[in-house]
Amino acid sequence: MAVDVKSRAKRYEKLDFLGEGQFATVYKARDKTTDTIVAIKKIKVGHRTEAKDGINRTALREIKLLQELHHPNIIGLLDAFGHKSNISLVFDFMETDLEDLKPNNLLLDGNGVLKLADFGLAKAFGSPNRVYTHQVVTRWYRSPELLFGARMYGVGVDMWAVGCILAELLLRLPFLAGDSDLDQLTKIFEALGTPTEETWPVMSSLPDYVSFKVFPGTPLEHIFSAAGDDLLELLQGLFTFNPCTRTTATQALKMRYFSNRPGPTPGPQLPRPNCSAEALKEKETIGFKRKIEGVMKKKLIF
Amino acid sequence: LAHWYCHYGDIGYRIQKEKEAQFHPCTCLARQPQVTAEARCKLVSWLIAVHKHFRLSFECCCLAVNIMDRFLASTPVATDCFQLLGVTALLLACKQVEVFSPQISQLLSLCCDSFTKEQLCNLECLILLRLNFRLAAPTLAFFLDYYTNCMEAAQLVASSAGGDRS
Repeated sequence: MAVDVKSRAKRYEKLDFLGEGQFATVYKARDKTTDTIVAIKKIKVGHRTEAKDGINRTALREIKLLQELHHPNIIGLLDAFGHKSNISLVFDFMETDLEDLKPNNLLLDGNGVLKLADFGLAKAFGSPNRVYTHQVVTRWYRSPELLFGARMYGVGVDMWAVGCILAELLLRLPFLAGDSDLDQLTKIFEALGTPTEETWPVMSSLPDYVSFKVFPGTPLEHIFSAAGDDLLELLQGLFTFNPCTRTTATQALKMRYFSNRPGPTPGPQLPRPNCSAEALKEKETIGFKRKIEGVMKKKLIF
Repeated sequence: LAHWYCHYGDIGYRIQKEKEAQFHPCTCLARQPQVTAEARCKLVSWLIAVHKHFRLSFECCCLAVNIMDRFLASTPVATDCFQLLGVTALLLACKQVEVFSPQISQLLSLCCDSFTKEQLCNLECLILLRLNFRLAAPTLAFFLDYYTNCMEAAQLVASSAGGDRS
């Protein structure tokens, strides 16, 4: 990537407005150097709190991870350029709209290949296991441990989200659509039954734990009446309350559902959506203030 | 044992080890006409105190030093701007790994307001460009955490083997 910002901005010719969210505006553009169509996500700086803190941290994390990730199922970051606090990201152009795992962030390219997008809240899993914010993942896809305020969590939160997405594909509607965190937990327990000390031992020691009415839950085969046993088995594993025993990605891929017939439809034969330009989903930001104590105040002279 | 270690410890270690060379700031002071090893030492010592003051993680501190060193390897820095580089690198590190970042005004205040916000924001962008937006440096914090888990795992194996014998 070259450093000259102006020549870089000139490399792309804006064609169309694709969508707008709280943090970014997305344009369809032509890369004049390679004559390909790209999507440019321009991170907003007009926002007062954004400008106050310099470069947007969500954008920063997204760039950081996409720079290191190269995989056929992950959206390709082609270029990034910036000027002052202004950053633009150049992506492969996708027919569907542009860390968290929800259907809006799953894109299909022209060949029907699935691409994950939007890594603004993603963490490298190798990060030491320390305290994180629990305000990650759009609420409907948030796992019970996050809703109970867990600050030490792992890949299980993504597997719960995968379960919700899978359920949504079956129902064609969001499976657990809570309108507050408490309502979200209620929806989860109504559907899956309230967990007990046996099914989820450390639940009651989580920071925001509240005890819930004991719901018996509905058997998954009654909710997903069209799903076969192998798929129900997968869903059951993904909707395990205890994050330590929840099915991991590696375990899931070894389950019968992925080897049983029918096999997946080849990408190019998948039905394709009409080019939609749905806006980027907004992400939650967290404001924070802390007083300076002035202990470290020092002008260093070298 | 940490959850991440049990499931992805070994592959994580392999990836980080592989990336280490790409992010290693070799001879970071070679092109510096003014910044000396002593000056760098003084700045890092101060950054360690600052990161503790804000209760930032060790990982964040490691990342800040990595960002600073790689920038030094790419760009000559005047000594009167060196402290600004330190706090800007710390801010960039915070944005990556911390839940809350200190505010720019807080960071500037710790430098006795010798720099302006605009200077910091310009430098922030310049750093990103010079580093080609490559920020995911493997850190000492990661390797320490990994090796600590390895040791604990080995102890668990040893103690369970001892238990079997008795």
